Amino acid sequence: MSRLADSRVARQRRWFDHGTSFIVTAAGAGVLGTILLMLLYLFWEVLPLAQPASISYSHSEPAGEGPLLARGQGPDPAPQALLATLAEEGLLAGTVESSVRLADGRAVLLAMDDGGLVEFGRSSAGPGERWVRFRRLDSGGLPVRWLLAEPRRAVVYALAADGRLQLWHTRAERRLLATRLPRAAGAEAVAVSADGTVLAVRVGSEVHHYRLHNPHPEVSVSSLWSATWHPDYPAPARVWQSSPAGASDEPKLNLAPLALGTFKAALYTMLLAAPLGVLAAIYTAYFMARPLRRLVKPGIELMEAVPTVVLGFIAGLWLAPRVEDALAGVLAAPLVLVLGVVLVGGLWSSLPRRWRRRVPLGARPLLLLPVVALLPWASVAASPAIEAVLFGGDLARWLEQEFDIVYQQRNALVVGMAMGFAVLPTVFSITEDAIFSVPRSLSYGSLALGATRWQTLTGVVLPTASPGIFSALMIGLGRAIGETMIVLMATGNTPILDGDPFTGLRSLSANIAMEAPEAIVGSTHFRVLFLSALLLFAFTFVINTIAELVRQRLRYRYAAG
Amino acid sequence: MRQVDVVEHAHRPLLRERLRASLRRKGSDALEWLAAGAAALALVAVLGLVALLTVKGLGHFWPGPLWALELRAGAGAGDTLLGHVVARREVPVAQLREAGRDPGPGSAVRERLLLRLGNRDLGAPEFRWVLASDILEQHMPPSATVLERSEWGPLFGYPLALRDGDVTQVDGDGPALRAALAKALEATAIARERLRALEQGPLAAASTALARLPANDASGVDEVLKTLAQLETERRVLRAVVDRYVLRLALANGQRVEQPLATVLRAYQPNALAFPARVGLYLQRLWDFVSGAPREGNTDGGVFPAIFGTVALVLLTAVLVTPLGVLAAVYLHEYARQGPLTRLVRIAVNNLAGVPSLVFGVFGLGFFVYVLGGELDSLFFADRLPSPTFGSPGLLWASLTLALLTLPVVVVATEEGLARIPRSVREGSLALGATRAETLWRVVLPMATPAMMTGLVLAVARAAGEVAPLMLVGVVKLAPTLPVSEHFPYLHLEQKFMNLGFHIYDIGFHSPDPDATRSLVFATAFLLVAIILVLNLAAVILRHRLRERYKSLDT
Repeated sequence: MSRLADSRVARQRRWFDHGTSFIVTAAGAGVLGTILLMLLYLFWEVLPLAQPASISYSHSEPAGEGPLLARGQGPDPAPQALLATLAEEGLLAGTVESSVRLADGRAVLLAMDDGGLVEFGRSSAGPGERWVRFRRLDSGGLPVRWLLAEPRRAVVYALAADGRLQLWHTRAERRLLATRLPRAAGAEAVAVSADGTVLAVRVGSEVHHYRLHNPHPEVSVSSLWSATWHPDYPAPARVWQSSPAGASDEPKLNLAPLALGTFKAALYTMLLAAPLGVLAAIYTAYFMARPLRRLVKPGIELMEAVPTVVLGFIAGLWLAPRVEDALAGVLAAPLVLVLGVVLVGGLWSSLPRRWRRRVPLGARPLLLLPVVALLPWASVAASPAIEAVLFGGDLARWLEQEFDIVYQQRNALVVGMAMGFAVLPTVFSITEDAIFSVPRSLSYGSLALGATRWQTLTGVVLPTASPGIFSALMIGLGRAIGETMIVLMATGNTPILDGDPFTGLRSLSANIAMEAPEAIVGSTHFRVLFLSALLLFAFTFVINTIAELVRQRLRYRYAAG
Repeated sequence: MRQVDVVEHAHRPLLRERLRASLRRKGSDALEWLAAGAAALALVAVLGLVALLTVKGLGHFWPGPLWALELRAGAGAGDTLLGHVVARREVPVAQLREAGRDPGPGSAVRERLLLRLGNRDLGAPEFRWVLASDILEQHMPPSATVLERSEWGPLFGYPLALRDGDVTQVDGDGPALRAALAKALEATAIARERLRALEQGPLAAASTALARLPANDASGVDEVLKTLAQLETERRVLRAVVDRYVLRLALANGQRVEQPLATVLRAYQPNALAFPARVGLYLQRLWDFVSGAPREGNTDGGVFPAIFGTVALVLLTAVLVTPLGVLAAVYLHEYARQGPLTRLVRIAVNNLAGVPSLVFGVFGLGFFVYVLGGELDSLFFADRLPSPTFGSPGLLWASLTLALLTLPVVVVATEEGLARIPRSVREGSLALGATRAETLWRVVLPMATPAMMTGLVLAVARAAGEVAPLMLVGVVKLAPTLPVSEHFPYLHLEQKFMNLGFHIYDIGFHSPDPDATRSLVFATAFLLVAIILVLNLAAVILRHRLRERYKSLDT
């Protein structure tokens, strides 16, 4: 009896053991699976962008009296006058076989006799109407008989007399399809539906219908990253404009300004956070008295917990107007701080030893607290005077006159300051850990050999901790690149292409936050937003993996030592 | 002679060497000071931020004095003003000249005051900059009154008389008027509250009952109509009480206005308040902010729905993230053989911590909302399609997204706690014949509870401060109802919700008048930061207690 009960209990215990083991392992695998799922899902949403177009024969019907397609677009050749002007200006080389108007007549595509498809468009450079060559697409010697264009997208259909068809997106310079249409040889008329889903070809007394699948024609590497011509622009440009201005405009989805904005914000952030974080960490880990360190370290790390929306709000509504009012003072503040701190340090060192002893060596930051609090304030207070003496009263106006820089209130400088303070605790904390965990024996050995504290620091401690510092900077950079709310709130969110500290920017993340809720599911815009999320993911993934590998090696080295 | 030469030769390089060494020391000393300066600057930034938020955030509720200002003629329309001084700023004379103002002789800067004049419904702008040099006379009239209203913001004026219907109850300012006003306000507030309860309770219920009744049920309809008529009479009576009192006031410029007490929430004379009364009023206003609903397109009133939404979201996140996070940590530390796979999982977890929060939002929007939610809708809520139930952003998807986001926090903290449990404890349990699972559930996990709590609290703090992903997966500017109700299933996971962090973004950047809402945003920001800092402190204390506990175990 008891043996039976025992065996039942034993069985229960065994099952419990197995069950727990299974659940725990499943949880471990689940975490890995989640990451993979995120990556795969983002890929899956982005992948259709790279898909080529497809066309399939649908049905035929006898040709009627009416138009080929009820709501379609037939051939729409370029006006002869325009062709004459182009030839006059010497822009045409060769004979025009066929032509089509694009973008409401603001551009034309010409099929030349050498098989090239050449696009000309209106440029807004200079006075009057000027036409320039936008681009040349190489059809590979297709003798184009018919040229068609969709009304809403820059998708062009080039059909040869023998039924060969090529689909191009002109602005993306992307050949979407090259095939031979069945039953289309000797076409007498062609038309395409306005939404680009049906192509109709009349051959003799029959009209053949073809079904098209071409959801994302406008995306290519060049349209995402390179400068392209748009009608009525003065020059090729990289533009992000997801909701187009005019009815006949396509959304312009160039990621370059957003990527540049992201890096611009990260650059100014790291300019502040990297030196400040690393220096503060060096002092806290190496020089600071232990009891003080126990207070200072969590104090600075507490800053990491402050929500970025609060920092962004303070940057946008409190800091930005103040920086604008006292621009010279803010720009002078770093210099004033460095000089002031060194000066105070020098003065302190020349004080009688009796007084200096009052403050222990490791408590200098406490001594400096009032100094670093007062100096920036003084610098800002002196700003009107500086601007009056050096820049004729207003630095922003002076910048505009001298360098043609238009100062915007919410700009990269403000973002850098706010995000710098958001990233500072990350850089500080990891660097501090790295320096603090350098084995004591190393620095004792160095000191015992007669090196000064500073020599020990630069010759022994910092080289040993350098992988940790590197990974701190990498992780800080990753945070700066992915940060959303501060950039969203402290800049004007204009997608522009420059590295100027006094202009605004729009980052990839802020762009997603603004546009993703409104983007139509499955549209090109939606998928390009996913692509930018994937880019952010991939970039931070690479950065963090490098940082983590470096850190693990560091840990291994200490373990071995 | 020769000897002297030798000595001098030996001496000279020594001097140079010493000089160089001294310079090097000075240089390294300066660098050390710089490092100390950096540490001090980081500290100043933290302290400054906290101080700024505290002063500005808590200052929002302080009933400051109302200044009556007499302006120099020609300084602008309305030569007499009554309002709060909101900000003071120095402005360069050049800028004034450019704006077409004559600053007169004197120094290079002028002081400007930003006045909040209230009375938004009466035409003049609510905020106005005034040059300090334009002020001829200023004083704090004791009878100046602030009326906090549910519409159009505050009204500043001098009370003249209280009218009860068509009868003037009290005429002329004085203690009698103030007492009568307080009484009338109380009566109005009670009636207003009862009216609200009636409209949202029985009246609404009766209307829905009427709508649901079948058309041929004549007796039922009659009955409901009778109840409705009764309730309607009651409502009319209450409405009459609410609309009964009207306060006549004089504005700063002498204009007379009549303010019905129906929309007045509170009246006080800030200049006549004694300090304890002022503190009492301050606390009341603070409480109103924490417990009240937003008004006027979020630019006024309280933030209770936002607090509630944040708390609900964070709790749900915690419920979702804890089991997975703790089990994953157990796997990493107790079950998995340390090798390439565990290293991969660790890197994955660390990476998850570094992935921008917005990417989680994008994943949540695409995968949870559109894929999972769309699937759920077509399976269980097909009758409501095409209007989505779970196929649109909502509380459930937001908390799942945040659970993913905070997973690494829980994993790392729990693993740290597991690592601190001495090996001997586990071995002792196993040696006594316990299985691995029993050791885990009865010995290891109970000992690691503080670590799990630490991770949980940190995860909650992180989730409470996160805004960017929520903007994609369910947060809204103004949710008509809380995500809980007395109807099944009580907690409405598909509903959209408000959030403190998003509230800050919204009222800070999307309100028509940034001046009017700035101090409100500071108050909200202070509240959010206070909640998060308290949570973080709790985590620090928990971690400390954990360490103390195992210190005794180690020895």
